[in-house]
Order: sequence, then C-alpha cells, then structure tokens
Amino acid sequence: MINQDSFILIWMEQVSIKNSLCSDGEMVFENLDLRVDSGEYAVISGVYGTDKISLINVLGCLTTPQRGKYIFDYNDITMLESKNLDKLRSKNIGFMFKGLNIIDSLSVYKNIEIPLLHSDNEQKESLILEAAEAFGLKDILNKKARDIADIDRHRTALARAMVLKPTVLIADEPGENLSKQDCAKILDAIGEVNAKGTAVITFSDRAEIVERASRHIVFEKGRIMAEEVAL
Amino acid sequence: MRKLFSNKLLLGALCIAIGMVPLLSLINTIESGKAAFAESFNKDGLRLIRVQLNEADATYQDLKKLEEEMPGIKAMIPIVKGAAQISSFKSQSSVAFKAVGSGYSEFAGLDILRGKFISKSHVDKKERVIVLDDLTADKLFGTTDILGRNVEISYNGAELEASVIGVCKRMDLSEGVQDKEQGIAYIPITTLDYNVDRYSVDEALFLVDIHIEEAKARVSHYLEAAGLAGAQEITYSNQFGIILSFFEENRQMILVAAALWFFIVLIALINILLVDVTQDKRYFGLLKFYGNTEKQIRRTIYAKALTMSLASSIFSIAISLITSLLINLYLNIPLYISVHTLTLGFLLPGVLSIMAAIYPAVKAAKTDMNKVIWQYE
Repeated sequence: MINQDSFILIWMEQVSIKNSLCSDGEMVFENLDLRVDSGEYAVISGVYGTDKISLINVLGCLTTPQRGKYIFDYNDITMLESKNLDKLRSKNIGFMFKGLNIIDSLSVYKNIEIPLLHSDNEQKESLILEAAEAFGLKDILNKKARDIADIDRHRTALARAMVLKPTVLIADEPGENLSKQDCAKILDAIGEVNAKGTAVITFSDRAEIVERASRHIVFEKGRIMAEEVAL
Repeated sequence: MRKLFSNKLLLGALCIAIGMVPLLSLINTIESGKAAFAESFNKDGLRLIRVQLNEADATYQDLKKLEEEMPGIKAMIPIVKGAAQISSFKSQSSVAFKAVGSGYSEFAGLDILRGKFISKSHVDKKERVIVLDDLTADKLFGTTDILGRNVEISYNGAELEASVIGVCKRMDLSEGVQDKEQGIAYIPITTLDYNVDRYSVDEALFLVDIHIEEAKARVSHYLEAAGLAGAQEITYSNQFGIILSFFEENRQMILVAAALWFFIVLIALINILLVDVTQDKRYFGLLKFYGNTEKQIRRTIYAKALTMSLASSIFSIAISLITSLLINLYLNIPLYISVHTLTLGFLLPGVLSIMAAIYPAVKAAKTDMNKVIWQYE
C-alpha cells in the first residue's frame, strides 16, 4: 500500500554486488537498478542461495555495494562508515530470517529483546511488550522458545524484527515450513505491519506470498526481468 | 545430571566450588583458631612468646627471676604437664594434669562453666585449689555442680588434697586436637613447691610489649646466661595445634595443590565457556547483526563468567562455613567468619572466571555473522 506521502526509501542505481560470503567472490549483480518506496509491499523472486544473501546484505545495509549508488532513507550507504551503517540498520531495518534464528534456550521475551540489548533505549520494556502484544505473544513471553509452537516461533521472529519499529521489514521466505493456515496468519500479520506504514520486502517464489504484495520483482540471472504492480 | 551438564553456568560454578570449599574451610578454621587466641590473649598490644623448656630443667623460681629482670616482659605463665589420678569420695579418674600460673585460661581459651580459674592470688598464696573439666567433674561426682568439694590428687608419687574452684569445658586450645575422653585438671604451679619433691617447668609463656624478634633474642640470651640453654624452640604464639602445624609443615604441598587446582579449573572453565559460545554462536551472530560491537559481545561473556563466579562464591562460602563450623565444633573453638575467607571466596572465583572468559569472549566477538545468520557452512 502506497499513499500520497510516500517517498523513495530504497534507491539503487547501477549497483554491482559481489558474493558477500566469500572474500574473493565474483560479482553476482551488475548494474542493478532498484527502487522501493516507503510503505510499499514488494516481493522479490528468482534469487536464490548466496546471490540472495548477497542482495539482502546490501539491501539491509549489512555491506555496501562494490559499485553504484545506494540511497537508503536519504542516506548514501556507500559513504557511511560501518559504525553508522550498523546504527542505520538496527534502527531502520527489521529482518525476518529464513531460518528464523530464534534462540531456543532463551525466553520469547529475551528473543524479542535481542535488537535492544546493550542499547540505552529507556523504553526497552514497553517496546518489547508492545511488539509482543501486536503479534499475540503476551501470554507466552516467559516461555522458552524451544517450548512454543511453530507459528509462535514465526511470530517471535516477526516481533523481534519489528520491535524497534523499522521503516522497512525484509522477510526471507516468511511462513516457510508452516501449515497453509498458519502461513496465512503470518502473512496476515506482515500485511498488518505494512498497513501501518512499514515497507515490506519479501523474498519468495511462493504464490501465496506473491499475491499479497503490491509489486512483484522477478529476477533472472542477476537481472530484473519483470516487474508487476498489483492494481 | 543431564540438566546440570546442559546448564554450563551451574557446571562452571560447581567446578570452582569443588576447589574453593576445602580451601576456604581450611583457611576459616585456621582463622577461627587464631581469632580465638587473639581474643583471649593478644590484648593491649601485648605479644606472646612460647618457650619449650623440656630439657632445661628450669624451676618456677628461675623463670620468675627472668620475668623480674628482663625489661619488656609483662607477665609470665609457667606450665608443668603430666598425668595424675584424681579421686573423689565416690570415684577416681586419670587426667591430663597441668600446674600453671594465673592467666593460663586466657592463653588456652578455656571456657569456664562454673566458678573461676586459678588467679594470681591462688598462685602467690600457694593455695590448694583445682579446676576440673566438665567430663572429669561428672565422672568424679556425677555432676558439674561441685564448687567447694575436695578431691585427692596423686601426682609424681605425691598426694595432695585440693578444693574445686572451677569447672571448665574440655577444651584447651594450646593442645590442638584433643582426646575428648581424657579429662584435664589445673592447679596453681606454686602448689607443687611444697608437695612435690622435684619438678621442672615444661613450658613458659611470656607476655611482652616489645618487638617480638627482640623479645625472642632477649629471652634466648637470658636463658643461656642462666644456664638454661636446653630451652628449645622459642616461638611467637600462633600455635594452633595440629591444623596450623599441618598447614605450616605442608605449606608448599598445599600451595602446589592449590596452583594445580587453579590450573585445572581454569582449563575446565575455558572449555565450558567455549562450548557455551559454540552453542550460542547464533546468538552472538544476532548481536553483531543488530549492531553490537565486539567489545559489547565480549562484555556479555565476561558478565556471564562473573555471574558464574558469584554463584560459586556464595555456594563455596556457605558450604565452607558449614564445614568450618563442624571442624570447629570438633575442636571446641567458636566459629569465626574471617575477612580472608570472604575476600578470597569472592576474589579467587572472580579472577578465575575472568581469566577463563578471555579466549571464549574473543571467540564470541569474532563470530562470523554471515555464516551463522544465513546458516550456510
């Protein structure tokens, strides 16, 4: 959903991205142009494995592109020092990982708290409780992550991604390994996140995810082959 | 057991505590003994010298002369030791027998249950009085309420009658670990003067107000000049029976054992923390992902290690105090919670944990975020 006040949140121009998982990696994306507006719901298909990770790393400001220009929320990423890049990322970008990266030995509360750990945010607790409430986790906050249902693990991952109220949520294969009904619930929750104004970028080829997005960006061999905008 | 091994913090704390408990118990027991002496005798800046006179053949008068002539000596307590037979109107008992000067009860930390101990007046007037322990009192009279009763003492072939002026607990700190079945009796040393043909003082305690080394040199010199060169072993009174001498005699062995324990626990803790870091690498990867610096991640490990050390400190101190209390009950000395025990109890596990955490902390901080977050190998 894009309203009239939206602005360009992500703007990549002629960006080249190296395989970020090996030091002498080859270029996996060359001269890439990509734009995502604030409040948009985009889904990216056709990128897999290390290529996908490399793209997410750049999109999510974990690394900078090798060439080209990348502006995120009016910040020129290529000019930022890694310290500022960390700050920008942790404040503005929420990640929902493919494997969820839930720490089983910690409680749901502690899992949601991870992005706030070592931060001097005075509203830490209220932010965690707010996120837990928003995703229906309030009653299981003290349970160990290993003891909760699969759908609650996904909700926890989503709550952790959203606890700092980022401007964009990057979700890699959300709802994977869940039943159709449970997957729908997670996608509904992501839809609500988007409805409240957070841009969403999901990585998936699955139809049930693609059909929820307002824009579908299809990649092939490192290039954008098609873009579909839902009416 | 499985749960224990899965809880690395608890396992680490237990590792530390296994070594800490015996160490702290030993230290606390020694400190309790020293405190018992300090409270009873080392008052007003006075120090105690203990002189063994076994082969010197010294009489009470010889020592009295020394006390009068040597500056710095504030008091002298002679001790004659032996075995005696004590009889009442209804029973008799073999006891360890000590003819002593006034003030001995403070040196030996005697706990007077009834009446009083031998005073200066008793010694000066050569009064025929006796102090018995509760065990002997009970054996002889069936009660400890025996003040004023008379007993017969048979010592070194001499017989003398004495009136009971006090009953004490069977506890004599100067003897270290004692045979609890053996009773003990004390009489003024001067009583021996006209009742026993010949006796020699076994030991003398000198209370001095000068530097201890100077006092030892002076006493030694005087004894030699007085022809009492047989006097052996002039020591500062830190004598706390068997435990202290065990500690003193085996100091090196104890230190080696402690160092060995320190090393073993250090290695064990490093491994425990390393396993913990390896198992939680995804957590550290996430911390990095969310912008935590390496320093902050290292701090997380140090905090964990310190929590472990705090748990082990509290546990070790509690258990060692209980152990120390049991040993002290056996030795008949009151429990003293030593500052050394508390300091060491917190400091040593803290140092150990921090040392053990250094490498795991660096490893955690160097976690390859990309590998663990995106879960590719």
